[in-house]
Amino acid sequence: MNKLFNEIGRKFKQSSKSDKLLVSAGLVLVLGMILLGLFASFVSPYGPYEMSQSRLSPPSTEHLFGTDYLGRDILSRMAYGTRISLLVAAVAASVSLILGASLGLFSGYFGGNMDRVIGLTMDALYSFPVIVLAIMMTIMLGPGVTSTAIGVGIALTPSYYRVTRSFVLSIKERGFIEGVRAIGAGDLHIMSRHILPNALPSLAVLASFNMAEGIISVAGLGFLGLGVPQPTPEWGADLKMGRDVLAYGAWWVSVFPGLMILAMVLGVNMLSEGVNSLFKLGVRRR
Amino acid sequence: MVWVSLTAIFIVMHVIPGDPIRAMLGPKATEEMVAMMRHQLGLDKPLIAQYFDYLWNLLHGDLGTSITTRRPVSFEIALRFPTTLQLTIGGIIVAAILGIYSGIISALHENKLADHAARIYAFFVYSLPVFWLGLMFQIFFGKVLGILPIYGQLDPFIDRPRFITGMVVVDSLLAADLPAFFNSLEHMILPWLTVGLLLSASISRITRTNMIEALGEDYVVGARAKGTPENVVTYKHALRNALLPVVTLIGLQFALMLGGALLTEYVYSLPGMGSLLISAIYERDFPMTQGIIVIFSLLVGLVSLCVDITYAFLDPRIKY
Amino acid sequence: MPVLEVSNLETVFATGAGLVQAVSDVSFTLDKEESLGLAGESGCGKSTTAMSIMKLIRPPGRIAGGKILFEGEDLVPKTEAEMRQIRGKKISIVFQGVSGALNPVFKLGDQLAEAVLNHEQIDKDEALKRAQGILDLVGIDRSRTNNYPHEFSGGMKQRIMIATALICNPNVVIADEPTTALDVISQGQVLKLIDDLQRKLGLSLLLITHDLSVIAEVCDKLVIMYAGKIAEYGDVATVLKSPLHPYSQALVHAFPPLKGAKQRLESIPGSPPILINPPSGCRFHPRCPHAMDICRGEVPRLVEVEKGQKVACYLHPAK
Repeated sequence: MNKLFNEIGRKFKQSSKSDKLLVSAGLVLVLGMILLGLFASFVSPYGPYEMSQSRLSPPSTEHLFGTDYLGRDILSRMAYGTRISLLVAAVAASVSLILGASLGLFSGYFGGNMDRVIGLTMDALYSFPVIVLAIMMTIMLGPGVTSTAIGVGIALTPSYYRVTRSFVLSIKERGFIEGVRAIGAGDLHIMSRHILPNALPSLAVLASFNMAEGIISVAGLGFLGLGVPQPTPEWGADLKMGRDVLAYGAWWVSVFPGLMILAMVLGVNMLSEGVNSLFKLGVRRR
Repeated sequence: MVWVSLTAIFIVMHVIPGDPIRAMLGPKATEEMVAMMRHQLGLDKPLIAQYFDYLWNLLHGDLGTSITTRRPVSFEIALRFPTTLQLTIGGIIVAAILGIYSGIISALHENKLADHAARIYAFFVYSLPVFWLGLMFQIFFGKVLGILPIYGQLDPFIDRPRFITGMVVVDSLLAADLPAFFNSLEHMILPWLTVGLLLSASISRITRTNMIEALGEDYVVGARAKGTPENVVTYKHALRNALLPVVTLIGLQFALMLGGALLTEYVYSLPGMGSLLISAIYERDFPMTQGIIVIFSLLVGLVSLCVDITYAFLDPRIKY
Repeated sequence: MPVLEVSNLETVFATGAGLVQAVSDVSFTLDKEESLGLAGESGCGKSTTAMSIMKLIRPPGRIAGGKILFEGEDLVPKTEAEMRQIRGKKISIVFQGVSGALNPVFKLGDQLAEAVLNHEQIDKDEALKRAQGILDLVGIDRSRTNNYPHEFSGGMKQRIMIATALICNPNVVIADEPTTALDVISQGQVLKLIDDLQRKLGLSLLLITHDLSVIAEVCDKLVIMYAGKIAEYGDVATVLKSPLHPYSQALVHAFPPLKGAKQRLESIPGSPPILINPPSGCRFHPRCPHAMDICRGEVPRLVEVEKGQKVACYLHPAK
């Protein structure tokens, strides 16, 4: 473990200025957001559901981000909203990671018709807009967090599949597998001990790229009104609310949720890009 | 390939647990009503039969009948299709212009200020949620500056031009209806920018990489040795080579674009397939939803194919 | 007056690790209708010298000093715009055929025509006719102007490069490793072509190569470069028959003779220096079997030892 940290530290010091900047800035933003979500109750001056008399009031000293049409403090809602976005996106990104990577491992390793069928399916899924898949889920399972998570998860699986499969194929090509098998290693052992660790760094970076995608999709569905039910604080849903009150000139209800999404996604993207470049992993975004 | 997509859609829509029928009819529905609706939609037949019906109907262009409007789904989609097409094509053009231009500037000033600025800009744009961008444009240009319209395709007091392609901008131009033409352009500026900006970030990135590579190639030196002026070297020799992968990129990112177009239609209230899909979902219009998703998937497949053909056409090294 | 006169040329490259002195104090002349060979191993600075003459050196490289007199005018202070009128028209360079100096997405005819249209105000059809004419000259079927570069073999691409260089009737032609990437048979053909054309068109030729046998066939004079500096300079026949500089001697002996008793191939121990901090004094002294103390001190100057033979070595002081 220690060796890993040393390695990471060394690579970091040797990297270019822009890479360092990306990783640092991204890390700051992401950690900030995570902390915000964890300690939302401490940071927020009010509760996220707490209504008040001052409805649709612009940003002031009492309500730094202003209030919405029910008098709820927007700053507090933004802080609590972090949780939902992070949670759903993280769940979607990780479940799809496990699914996609496993499929990729098996598919690439055993090859044959199974490989072809799975490959085609993954290609078909890959070409779908994420939003559309997520929307499809909502019609089947009803709107809400679960269908969003499942929809986004299904949409992200092909990317993990591809990366893992290409790792498997490149290792296969090096004839390395025959060697290990000759000393009696079983298939599962080969896959988990030899192939997977090579793919892990790239998969991790891919996961964080997908996190960004996930966060935007969650917010997108919330914006369409197909996400979490009211009155749960969620950035996208609050954005939708903002759109509805636009006619009253209440710009702050729209601006701040978007800024939160932007900050989060920017942070994740910066971190992913920085790490990608730093370790020369060459992971491609969708 | 396309077939796989269609099957995948079928599986998702019919196999996944969940009862859309009940959801569609609401909580007050009785068992009989649910059963009747199910029978009407043919959802009580065995799965295999449903599957073959589905494929058979698709081959005949029959996407079912909308629950809400009682008209054929294909008809509804056909009405909305040109709007989405107009939005997407305009978006691609905007993205190409912005992206390629900034990519070239970046490449020519590699690692200098202009390059860094352009890259930061592209990075930033890539992280923007497209729906929020649309909203911000509406606020800024519509409310704050008040110079651009933010809803719909035309002002209500202007008549739609005669239907030729269904795309308002094109039709008004073809009909030489200048007031309608300019009005529709005004309405489309923000949506085009919204959709195009996101794609322009990836285009910029790829153009930059490819231009830098192209400018380092031997044929650039060869051209200079012939006495070719520098801007010709850049724009004719290097760019032509650098642009090829951009075409492929547009194909790959098309799905992303469609998603963006969908949300943009919603934000700007444009009557396209995207907003149709969203209202279909609200109304739990199952056949409509399925139909639109099928069309989306076919569209993505078609664009993929076109991109491959175009690429083979543009690169003389490829024989087809 | 010689058509090309290089005096004390210095070309450097600014890298992260330091300043690379790629070409140092290089001087030679090229007379009208003469052909001069520039020989040396990879990295000795011969290509850089050629690119410097064409002023095609881009940052982080630059010409740091010296003069390049072409028909009496110094090229070094000339602007890009002025050089563009000279490149391709008065001085041309022939690149290695396989190097991809041809743009893969444009047709052959168009690329040749471009060379003409850059300098002459004629219309496209005229230019294409000129292109066809020059293709005849180098032995390529003139109907192939509609083909793309990847449809030609290595030897043909080399001829195309020659054609591109000649289409505007230049005075000086620089050929940079024209036969290096070709198979032996194509090499012979291209060499013969270059030789014929030089005589027929009265060109002044600067031929760059690491292959001494090529120079022996085509050139009148020979410059041997090592580590960015000139080691020896003189008539081809004289230098090859009796090389004076230890490096030249090693180079000449490194080529196996076709006839005669089989000998062991001699190679020069060590490797060429990195030119960021070149060795003090004579740059060859670390590898020279005859190195003396003086060689480590001051840089030996190029001095005329016999008539028409110059060498930069303390073994051969000036006459």
